Amino acid sequence: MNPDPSEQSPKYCDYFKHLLVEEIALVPDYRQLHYGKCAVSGVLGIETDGFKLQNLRLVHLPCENTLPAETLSVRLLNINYEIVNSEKLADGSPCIVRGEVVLCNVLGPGALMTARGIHELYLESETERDKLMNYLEKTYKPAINVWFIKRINQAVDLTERKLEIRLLCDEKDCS
Amino acid sequence: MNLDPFDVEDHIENFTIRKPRNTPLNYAPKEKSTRQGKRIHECIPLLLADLSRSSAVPDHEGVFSVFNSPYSALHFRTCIVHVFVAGRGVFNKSFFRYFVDDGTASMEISIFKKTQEQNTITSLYNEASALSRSQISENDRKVSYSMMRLLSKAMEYVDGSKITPGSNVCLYGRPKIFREKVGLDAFSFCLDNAQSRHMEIAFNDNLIDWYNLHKIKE
Repeated sequence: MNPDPSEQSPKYCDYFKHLLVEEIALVPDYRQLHYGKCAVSGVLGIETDGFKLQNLRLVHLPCENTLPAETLSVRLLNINYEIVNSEKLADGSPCIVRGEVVLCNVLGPGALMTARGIHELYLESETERDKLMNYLEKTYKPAINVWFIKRINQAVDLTERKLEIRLLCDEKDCS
Repeated sequence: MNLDPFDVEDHIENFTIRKPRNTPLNYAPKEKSTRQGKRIHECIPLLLADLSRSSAVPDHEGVFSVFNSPYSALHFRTCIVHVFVAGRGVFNKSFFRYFVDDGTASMEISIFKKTQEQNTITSLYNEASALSRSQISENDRKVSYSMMRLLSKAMEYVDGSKITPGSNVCLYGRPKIFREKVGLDAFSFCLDNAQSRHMEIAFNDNLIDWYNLHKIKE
């Protein structure tokens, strides 16, 4: 049974937890977004409005549980051409990104929020919660504040192993 | 006052009662199992999350137990981890310290500075490079060049300062408890900074297999 997300405030994740692009891009409720550090592997996409991390096609999962490659993307913050060139990255190269999951204001001047901030706002506004959540969902989009980026080969195989390891850990903690 | 060490010892003798040595001075092989008959493992692949929850086994120096639960525990002395280096800690005279992370937990580790080995390798390298510049046959020159390459490769496995934040590294070491937190003292390390992730994948495969074999499900 999942506890109601409004009951407990999220705890900062102080290690680089391996996540999928899908988990960040498709979060149904921003209060459930991962709060803290993360490590995500994907495909780098360079577009006119910035850098993005696109999902991989996870070949080892059953067909109905996977998406074709590069259907979803998450914005990458704190990254520029200098970093990209020094890592020999280009549009479409597989890479692993380590950093923090944030919410980025896409309409305004790029203000940042975290899952914890959303949570606190939600608790403060007692009357107009739906309106607030609607507004937040339109204004903010999940993004990764990049601390380390690295080009890798065998990104799909590595992700498969990391998912299996998460399974090993979750069995014990049930967290 | 001019005291040599023996005089000081004479003075101390008046105030302290020396404990008899528990450990015999002659070499004793490492115990393969605890007194309760449980096997003590060596070189086991571990996740940092499990390592940080491990605890010291009383009465057995250097032995730790992992997967602590009412039903199962596994004793080990040394372990192998594959980690990402997230930051530097405070270095001191004999250790490099790093903050490492493997996606399940983060932890501070120390790597012993092998100053003596480094000096030996550096002087051998200098010797080889001096030889390559002297009047020798073409064949000897080739030998001295390959010696230089070998020695600089050897240095990568000895010089702990080559580890920088952002790199991946495989560590072999023993756990230690410092300020009530579990850390790792690494004896040896192997950098894994290439684009290819074969080593990390192989390590993870080994770890998953090992966990499935040895971790008793609750």
